Amino acid sequence: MFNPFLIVYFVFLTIFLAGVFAVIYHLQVYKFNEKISLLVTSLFIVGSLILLAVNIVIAIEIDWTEFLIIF
Amino acid sequence: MGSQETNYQHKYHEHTFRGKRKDEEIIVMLRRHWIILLIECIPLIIFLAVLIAESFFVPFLAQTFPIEINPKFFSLISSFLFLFYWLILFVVWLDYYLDVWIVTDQRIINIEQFSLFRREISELDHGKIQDVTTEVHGIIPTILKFGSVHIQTAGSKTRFEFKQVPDPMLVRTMIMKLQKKSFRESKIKEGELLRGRIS
Repeated sequence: MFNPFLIVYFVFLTIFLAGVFAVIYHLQVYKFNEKISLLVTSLFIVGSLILLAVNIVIAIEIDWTEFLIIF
Repeated sequence: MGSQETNYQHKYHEHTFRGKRKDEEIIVMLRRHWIILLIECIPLIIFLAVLIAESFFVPFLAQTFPIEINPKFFSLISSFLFLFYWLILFVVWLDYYLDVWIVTDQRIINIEQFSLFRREISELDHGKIQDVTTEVHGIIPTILKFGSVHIQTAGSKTRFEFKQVPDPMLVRTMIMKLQKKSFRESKIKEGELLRGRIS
């Protein structure tokens, strides 16, 4: 059994998470001002978590067996 | 130091950067003018409008698609577009925010961030400055008072360039003052050294 859409979904999710970590790394490591860094990092994490939660809820509601390829 | 520089120091007392010396004080931290960020955000604003419109049309899109596909699948694609939009928004902001020119009482530091994985840092001591020129080119830069500051260094063909910074004339004056101060200090040191050698 092989589900290409599910694989693509996880690939996109991994790319997004890698991007999130890269942004947080830059915000924390190259900060110029503690307050601005904390504020922007918090805003970014909260926004990312909300969007990610919505994405996962939609993904759970999908019947992935529709896209199943059986050899 | 002039009163404007003192104000700058007060403004930047909470700021720091990687590699800051213990006895170093930030005089001014410059970024590109805010209009540059706004121009970079125009495609993102258009894309957001398209995304919002697209999310409203998702049910209709699902109906018009030749193969029968669960409408939730389109919602998932839409959700991914929003996720990556959010990420790109912060990458663009980071690119603007981390592109900075720092003038301290000891040196000038040029930090240029190119997307997420390329970063260039160069520095220049005030004593090595030979010439500072400003350039305000175009209607919008003239109205909004921003432009470039070119710093010619001694013994090298490369120039330091502050790109599209606000109030370039003030920056030039400030750098020239710091250069003169550094020159005076080096002459005093030279004099002391020579007197020490002679006696």
